[in-house]
Amino acid sequence: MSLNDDLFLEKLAAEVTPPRDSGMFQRYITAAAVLITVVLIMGFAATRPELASHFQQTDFLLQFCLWLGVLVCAGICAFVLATPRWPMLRGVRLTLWGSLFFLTAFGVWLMMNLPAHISEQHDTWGLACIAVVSGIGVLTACCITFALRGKARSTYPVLMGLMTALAGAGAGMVAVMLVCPHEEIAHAFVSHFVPALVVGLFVTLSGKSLWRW
Amino acid sequence: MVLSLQGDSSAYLTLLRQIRPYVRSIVLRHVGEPDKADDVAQDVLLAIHTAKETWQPDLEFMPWLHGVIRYKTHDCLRQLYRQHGREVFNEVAYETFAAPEANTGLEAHDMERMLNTLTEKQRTLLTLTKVQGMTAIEAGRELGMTPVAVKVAVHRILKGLQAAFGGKE
Repeated sequence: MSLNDDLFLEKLAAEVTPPRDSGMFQRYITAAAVLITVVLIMGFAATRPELASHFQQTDFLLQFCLWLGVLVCAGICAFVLATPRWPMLRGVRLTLWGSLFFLTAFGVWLMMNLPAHISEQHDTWGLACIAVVSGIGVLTACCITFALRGKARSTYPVLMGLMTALAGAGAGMVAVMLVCPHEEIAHAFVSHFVPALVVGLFVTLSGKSLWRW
Repeated sequence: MVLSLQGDSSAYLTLLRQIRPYVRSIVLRHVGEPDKADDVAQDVLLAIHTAKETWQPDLEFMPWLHGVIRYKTHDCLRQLYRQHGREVFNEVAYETFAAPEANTGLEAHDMERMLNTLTEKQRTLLTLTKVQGMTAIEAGRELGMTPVAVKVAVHRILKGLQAAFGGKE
């Protein structure tokens, strides 16, 4: 080791101080609580009519569970990915594949049902739905970023961005399903799924610069 | 590392000294160039310093360390590939010879060829301003021209040469 290296190490060692707080988990829980509260308030304030009966419909329940699965799996995955680690933990892989599986399952369900409804005339455009999906999606991404601020040193920043985006999209879709009275699949595709994809793409791309270190 | 997180600088220094050769060997295996490996190893140590709060004492240290090494090594490799993709090392361009005449011979020949295309007055004007380094006022006094006329003439001559030979001024 050269003299310069030794000096460099000594300088680093001289700067070492105990971390101010290590409450990443607590912050994450707080962020999740804020998000759940916002979704619940939104749900209570503008609940779609006959929500209880909709939960008895298989299609609705399937969509809801798939997006809830995406939200939970992607949220946990983003949280664990925030810490540098190689090789990746088995649990992270499970949540990663889990969230992708739920997303793919929804995509397959949508593609199977969309052609039958696409020819029918429906009110496919819903600006309120687009605003809900985008707003909740961005809020979720902001909450996760806030919870991991100063801590996110992921070895996989793009993947972490993708998982944050999926969590945001999941939260947005869950929220919009609670408030949107439209049943049409074409509407779900244009006003729910596409905005979620756009927000997700934006968050994923920004993940690379957001969590760069 | 546990002691380091509690602010023990001597324990931290010992840790950094112990892991440095290990970090360097891994980086060298990926990067291949010893000089570059030293730089990246230093980057890794700096990253460990800035990201040490992300390590949790209940988790293993080595996967965390490998995560940091991997990130920094990939960052360096990405930069190297980008650099190699855009830049070409031309050995001839940087070739120099022991005798000074050998290095300037080509340039002198080019200069003579270009000056031969000019009129006598233009050649004198260019020699005075660009070779002897006279100001526009001094060259004007020498040739009986106003400073503005000298500047305009020099500009036109250089523009003409650039158009004829396609080189930079």
